[in-house]
Amino acid sequence: MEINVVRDVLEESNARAQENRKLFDQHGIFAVNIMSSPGSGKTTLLQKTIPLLQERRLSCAVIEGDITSTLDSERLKPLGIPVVQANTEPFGGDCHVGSHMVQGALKYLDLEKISILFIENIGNLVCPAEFYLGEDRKVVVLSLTEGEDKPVKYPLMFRECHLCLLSKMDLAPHLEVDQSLLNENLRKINGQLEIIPISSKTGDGLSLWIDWLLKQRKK
Amino acid sequence: MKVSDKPVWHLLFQRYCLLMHELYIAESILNSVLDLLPAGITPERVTKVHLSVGQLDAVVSESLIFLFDAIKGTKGLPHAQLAIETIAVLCQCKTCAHQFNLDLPIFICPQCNGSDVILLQGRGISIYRIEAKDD
Repeated sequence: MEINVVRDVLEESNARAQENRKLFDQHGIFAVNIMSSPGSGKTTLLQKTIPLLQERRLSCAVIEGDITSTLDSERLKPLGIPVVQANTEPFGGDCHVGSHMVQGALKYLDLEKISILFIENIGNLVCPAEFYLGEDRKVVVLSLTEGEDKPVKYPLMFRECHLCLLSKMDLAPHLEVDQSLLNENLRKINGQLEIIPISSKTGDGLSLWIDWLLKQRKK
Repeated sequence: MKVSDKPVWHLLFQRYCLLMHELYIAESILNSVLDLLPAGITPERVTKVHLSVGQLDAVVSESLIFLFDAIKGTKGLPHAQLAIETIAVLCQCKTCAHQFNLDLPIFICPQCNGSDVILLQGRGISIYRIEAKDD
């Protein structure tokens, strides 16, 4: 016998994401899902971004996704903001932050006191792109050291995101990266993707990133 | 022992990491099948699950089938086979309204070279049919 159905396999994941979305709306939280390869500078970016938002009296919190360890959340501790570490498994669990993990992490946060929530996803250009977490915006950080080809090799990630932060721009003089080819590859995948070159080390471009966050938050 | 100048453990670890995405999906498929079965049809009777997968979804069919087979017994569906239909990426240019399929992930309109392109088809993972043995 045959049973004809239509069932989205990610229905449960999406339902939980919608519950997260509802909580963000109820509490006026602007949620940003930050994704990238491992080592592209997501945590350093947050270390530099959050004080600039605090200067503007915006309270931030971070859900820190990692397969294992609390190293990243320890780096964020000096900022004095709520950080919830969401590990998957000690010896290698999921390759992405799931909506259920965000849901669990939100229970540890005082949502009334948060203006901007950053979800630092697990370093991976494939899997995190697949899953909606209930966020307002998806941002991909692509470091210059990764080369021009990454947008074409990982199309879903660059297709899904609203903004691409080109990080480690201070290294440009030392690399042979063809930046016009990189921009062209980004455009080939997502013509609507906004691109901001930054250097967390020198601070270049961070004001544009902050302006983008503030503008998107008002939308 | 080395394969292609890389230690075997490295390749195994790499494979393990890459498979995790598909593992989550395999589990979700099996849970969905259990949820969808009408009363009176036991999970053991399920012989085939038909799945459509958008080409853009970064799902490796072989890996998904491998993992589905590896865990189906633990969910009480030991005879279920997974059949995957890949859905090609279909786009429409917002500038000139031209519709086109993508062979490569390059979202540029072949007619007007515009980059404001929307996705009509080729994203999403759905179960569309379940086959089960008759009584």
